Amino acid sequence: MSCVAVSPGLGCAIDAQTRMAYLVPGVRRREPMAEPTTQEERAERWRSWMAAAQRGDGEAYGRLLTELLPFVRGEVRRRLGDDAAVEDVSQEVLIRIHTARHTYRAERPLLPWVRTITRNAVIDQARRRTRALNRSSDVAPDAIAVDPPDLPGSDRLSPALERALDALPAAQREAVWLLKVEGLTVNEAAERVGISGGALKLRAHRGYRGLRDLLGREML
Amino acid sequence: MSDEPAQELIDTLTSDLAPVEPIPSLRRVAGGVIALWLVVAAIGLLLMGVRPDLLAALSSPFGPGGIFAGLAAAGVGGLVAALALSVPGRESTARAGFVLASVGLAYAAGVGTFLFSQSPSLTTTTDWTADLRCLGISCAVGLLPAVGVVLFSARAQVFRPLALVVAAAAGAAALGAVTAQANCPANDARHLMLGHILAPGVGALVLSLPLLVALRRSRRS
Repeated sequence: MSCVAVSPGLGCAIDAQTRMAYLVPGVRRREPMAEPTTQEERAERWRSWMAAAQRGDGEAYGRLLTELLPFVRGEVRRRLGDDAAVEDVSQEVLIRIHTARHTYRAERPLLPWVRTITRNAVIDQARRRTRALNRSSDVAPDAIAVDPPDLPGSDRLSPALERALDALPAAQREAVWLLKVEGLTVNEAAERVGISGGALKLRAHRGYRGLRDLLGREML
Repeated sequence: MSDEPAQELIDTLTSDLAPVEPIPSLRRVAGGVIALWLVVAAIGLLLMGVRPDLLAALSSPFGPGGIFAGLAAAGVGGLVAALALSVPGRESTARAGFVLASVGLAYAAGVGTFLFSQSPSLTTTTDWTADLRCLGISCAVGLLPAVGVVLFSARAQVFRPLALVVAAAAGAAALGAVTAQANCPANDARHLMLGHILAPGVGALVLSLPLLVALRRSRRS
């Protein structure tokens, strides 16, 4: 709906459905708003921090990654939609930003660079998920281990540890189980789950912390 | 959502941060690759000779000159697209490169088709061996520039390796075809189509796989 000043203190509004214009007292013409500088300032700030990070300034780099993380999460959530994977993929993006930081040139804007890295991480995640689904559909249903106590080696776990494992979120429990009970390598476990090795390590890391909290430090 | 794991990751990434040397600008790299082609082309033409009617050929926009221009545009566009595909955030440059390459190739093909339609008969002055010779020159001259693109890309960040090597191979072969046309005096439309204008496609077929292997090995090392 647009609003135009007819005279001081009197404006008009246009009904969107009927397209009829009505005089409205007290409505002033909208002046075009000044372009907000917050986004520009933020973009400039990030650009300068990235340039400093390329020179080895860890403090600037830490500030940059901390401020980038919500932006990255938003981009990942917007593209992926799957909340369970957003955090893993977001952290994967940070890792990729780290390994690709030499490809950024300080005279270029930073956000398109970050968006490309984010987009490609999301695409890779979708591909891994598809591959994992295809693999699991080839395996007989009774061969898919769902309940950890049914797997070999589970009889070595104490009841307290089994209870703590059961209390973990499924993704973390799976990561801990594959690495610590089944004894798979990170790459093997990551391939089985269908995620990157870095994402698997993060899940396992959170799982260990969860177990530590549940059982107390002396149990681990 | 707890930020602790993410903050731990950030702490890990920022500790003992090593400085890095940013990659050169795309403009500089593209200039370097094209300069490399010019050097290789100059050496090739010194060895093989330049066609005697080069200036006349260059000045015909709806004849061999048009094919020169179209292939040159296709070459530059393909190489720029390939380089841009290895730098995050340069998608618009890659798209512009693909557009330039497509327009150039379409123009060259259009001129070739026009010349073909103007031929009074189907007799030609060349045979398939001449076509193969010019295609071979295109691929050979284009090889070093294509390798230059791959070496830069291996140092940068490759997301679409197949698209990158196909663009590099086709673009480099197109520039190689410009060199071949600067040497080859044949003006019959059939040979221009099969021996010159087809070079980007043949280059993509022949060079893509070796470039892909070279790219993967360079990234591993």
